[in-house]
Amino acid sequence: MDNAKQELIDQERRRFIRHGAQVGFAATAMPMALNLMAIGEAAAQTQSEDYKALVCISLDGGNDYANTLITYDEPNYNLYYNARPQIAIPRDQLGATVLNKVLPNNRRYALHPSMPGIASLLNSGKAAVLLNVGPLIRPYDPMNYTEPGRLFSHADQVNFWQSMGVDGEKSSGWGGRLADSYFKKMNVNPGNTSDFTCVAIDSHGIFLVGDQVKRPFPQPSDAIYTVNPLTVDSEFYRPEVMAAFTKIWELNLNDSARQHLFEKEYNRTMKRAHISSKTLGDAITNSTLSTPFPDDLGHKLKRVAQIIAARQTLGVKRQVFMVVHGGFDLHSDFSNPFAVLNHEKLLGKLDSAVKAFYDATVELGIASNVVTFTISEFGRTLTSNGDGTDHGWGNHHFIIGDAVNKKTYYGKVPSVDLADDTWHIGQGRMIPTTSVDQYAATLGKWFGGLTDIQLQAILPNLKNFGTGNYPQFL
Amino acid sequence: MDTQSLEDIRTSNSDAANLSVGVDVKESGETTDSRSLRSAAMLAASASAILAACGGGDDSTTDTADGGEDGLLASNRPLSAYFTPRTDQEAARFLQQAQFTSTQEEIAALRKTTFVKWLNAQFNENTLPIGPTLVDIMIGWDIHRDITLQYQYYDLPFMNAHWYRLIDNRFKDQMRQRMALALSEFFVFKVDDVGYYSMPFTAAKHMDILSSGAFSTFDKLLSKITLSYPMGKFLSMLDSRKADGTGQNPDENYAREIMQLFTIGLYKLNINGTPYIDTSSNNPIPTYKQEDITNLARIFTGYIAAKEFHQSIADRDVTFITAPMAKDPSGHDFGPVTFLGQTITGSDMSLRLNQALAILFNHPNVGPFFCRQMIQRLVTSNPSPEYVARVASVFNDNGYGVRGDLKAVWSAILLDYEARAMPTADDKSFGKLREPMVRFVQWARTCDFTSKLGTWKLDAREIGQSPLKAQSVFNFFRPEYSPPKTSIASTVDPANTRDPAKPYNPQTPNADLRKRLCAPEFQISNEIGVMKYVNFMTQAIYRAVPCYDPTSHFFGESGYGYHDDDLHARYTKQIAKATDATTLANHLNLVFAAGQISPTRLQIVIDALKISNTSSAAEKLDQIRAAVLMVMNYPEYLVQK
Repeated sequence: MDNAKQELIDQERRRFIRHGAQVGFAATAMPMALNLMAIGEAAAQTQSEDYKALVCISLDGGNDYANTLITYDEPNYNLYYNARPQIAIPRDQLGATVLNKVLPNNRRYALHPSMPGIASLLNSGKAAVLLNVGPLIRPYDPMNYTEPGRLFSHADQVNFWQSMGVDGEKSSGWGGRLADSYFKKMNVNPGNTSDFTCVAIDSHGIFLVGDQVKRPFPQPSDAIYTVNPLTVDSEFYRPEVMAAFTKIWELNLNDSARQHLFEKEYNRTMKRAHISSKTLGDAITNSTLSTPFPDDLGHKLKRVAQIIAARQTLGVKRQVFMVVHGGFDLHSDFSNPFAVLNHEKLLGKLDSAVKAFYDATVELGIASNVVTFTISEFGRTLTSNGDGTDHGWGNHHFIIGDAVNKKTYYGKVPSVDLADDTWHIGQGRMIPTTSVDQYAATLGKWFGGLTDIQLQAILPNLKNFGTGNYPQFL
Repeated sequence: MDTQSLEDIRTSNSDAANLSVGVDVKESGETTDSRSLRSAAMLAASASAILAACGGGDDSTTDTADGGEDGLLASNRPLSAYFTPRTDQEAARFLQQAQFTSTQEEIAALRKTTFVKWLNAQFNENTLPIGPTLVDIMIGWDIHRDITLQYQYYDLPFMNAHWYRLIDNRFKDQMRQRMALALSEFFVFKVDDVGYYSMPFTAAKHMDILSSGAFSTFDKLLSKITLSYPMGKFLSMLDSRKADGTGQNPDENYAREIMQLFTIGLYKLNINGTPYIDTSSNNPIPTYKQEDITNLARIFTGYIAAKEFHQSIADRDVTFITAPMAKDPSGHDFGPVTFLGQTITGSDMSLRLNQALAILFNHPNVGPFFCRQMIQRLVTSNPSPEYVARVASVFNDNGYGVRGDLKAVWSAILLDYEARAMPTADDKSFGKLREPMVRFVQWARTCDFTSKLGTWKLDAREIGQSPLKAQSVFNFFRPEYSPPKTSIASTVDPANTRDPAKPYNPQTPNADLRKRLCAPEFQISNEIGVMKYVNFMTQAIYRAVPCYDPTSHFFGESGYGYHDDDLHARYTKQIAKATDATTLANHLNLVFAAGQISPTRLQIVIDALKISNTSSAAEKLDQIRAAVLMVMNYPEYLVQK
């Protein structure tokens, strides 16, 4: 089934699962001239706006670094090719996505040919690459080494990237803790805005869990949900059910006879869903955004852009978002054209969605107030297993936004020579030279204006890397 | 009666009974934990039941005293195995743990027998025939001849066939299907990851392996899954080849996940499921290293599809999916393989594979690792370590020296007094959040749902959870998930605190995993999850389950919509009960919630209903719908206790 067909079906499904006709995405069909005016005004208004957002895109499954940021200078291209001849991208296909910046020793990189959008952002100084970043407790030293959780295990490395602890270990993530830091610094109670400070789009993970912001509010990308039998303008509104639910919620809060924790939590979730979804849904419906977005990840980032567009209605000054772009665990079908998702398709979706989202921040006049960045539980092997690669460690990541500094590359340029075993732990699994804590510190300093001491309180391993020692991509 | 299987259960539980008595006596003196108190009370109750049974005087227990079983008391037959449900609520509660529904007929039938006899009847293929396989259902529907459905509409035919198989009341092997569903959350296969050209039959075959093997043994099931095309395709053992000197290495995917998720897990475990702590380092001990994965991966090389796949219209043979993978010695790495401290040599590919699987199967972790998760799927999110230990020892030996006997495992889980003891009102944590897909099947079967057109083109994805559609091989939720920043996560599990003799280092990874309560199903029941569920059920109850039929053009090009005349619940049993609001509410409370909705809360439903004896049929139907919707959204129903 082609994408267009699937999209049609999804649209139809969405039409059915929404209630009533209150969802008005048609509002985007504003005349062009008006749009341009609106963009100009918005830009003028928000020049000095006290608003910042971090948008985390998680490449779930572990993205293949070597075919994403491809060594382009001839000697290193040849090493890359010889390490994975089965899946290496031919050098003559890289002309359109080669990056301008030349590194010492004439090292050069190109992006995968399906990533022209991010390549142009990098070449125009609107984006940066952080080279070889990954989980570390302290700078790598084989003589004094502590494993940062279970390496190569999806669930544990996902959790380390998001919380600096393995699966189930930590009770909050650094996205949520950064949001907390804002409220702490401003000495304000997040109150009702707490629900809209951390928003997870089609995803759930510990990244956005904080102490003050508690839990991220989840949002689907494909619809606006309200609890239909409890929503007056829904065709399924049932007054008797509404009355019963209201009674149940009251009873649940006041009834000391029944205290089952799971029952209480379900109740709490339902109530929060009922109240906050309506607020968020209405704000989104009334916001204006005309930048076109592609499907899949594009839909998710469109939802982020819509929520950012509604920031004043929602009363938020700092937001952290998380969206998941899944399917990167390509042990096989890496380049199989018949696969639902292969690496090229996944990177293509990432590229077009990130570019559209950047354009949307320009439209909203807040391109320097929003920083988008990627994470992924691990990199992969440089060698292949035929038509795929296996779990690795360090990885390259992208940071996008007008606030990004213009050096293009940050971090340490890794080798691709398998014969040299100082940079990898077998089969080209890179040993990270920058830690997740350092990566997060740069983002946190920009987002919250935090000092080293404040950052160290949020990022438990940061102190092991020396004061103020983090990449200067922002 | 199938004496063989009765025998199995009786003897296999003897260790568990010994253990439980010992632990219970010790605990009841040491702690005021409500769960151990309940256990103690249960023990006392069951002891008197046994005395009555031996005396042969009590009507309610004479069933259990047949066949000269007097000597069994001495052989420590598990006390709970004698139990006959004493009330409708107890019967309903057991049925909801063991299968999907607890209809009034099923409750009545169970009350005429014992839990053990009921289980034996489920295990006996002569008294309870197994329904058709999903592959056969789809072949019967001519999916294999329909190139459009087979290749272009993803897993749609599988979803249709599976819901039909789970829901249609003519299929009576509910327990088998329920256990297969639980197994599908341990041996996770994700349909979306296998390539659209083979999705429906690949998914169907995986489910068929689980349901046909649900009452066999763990090692047989593991071997079938390992060699199956669906798992080969999903975790890429299929077509994995030995290193060829050009940089290509064996695929490590299956080698990793079979250890991490399908057999032994990450850390060495005690038999009660808690991590074994190395006293010298105060740390849990990893079960394997990366080199074990790299080496085991070599055993899994050289397997290819049994038949070549041609994506031509002429070739509609699905045996390339349904047959086990074939051996291709040219791709196999025949070198000696050392993993988990043992070395496999030899030149017989099958023998090498069997040896590797045996090493995994015989690892002491498998029992506690597998059994704890199955208890979580069926009974409670936070089983006590003693409960896990009792079931795991049955896994280790069913009493006849057989390891991994799944019938014995299911019986041990369901007959354990921790499962059978009725929850007390002040127990804050016993039980589990019912899974959306399980609620859906319960509703559909209970309310006489059918496809009037007979085509079963239902699409229930919007309920928020569909079989074989987890996010990844890590299932819909992690076994230790605890919703962060909630009272669940901040509560220490009273039945599961650590042995103070083994102090825990809080710096250690996983240190606090088992100390606090977990509630895995909440990982898919966030604000969006709960809205999806209530909205889907509202439409299913008041209108119909959506139909997705891209081949008929009934709904235009998208193929998605509602048939006025298809995919409805008929509420046959409920209409008969709808004489007044109280009767209806009590009926629904029993069959859906095993009577666990408290009277105060049930009164809210009753007050909301305007039904009376004189109501018209249409009015009654509307009231039934409102009542079902309310009951199915009550926290007291949603949390199965």
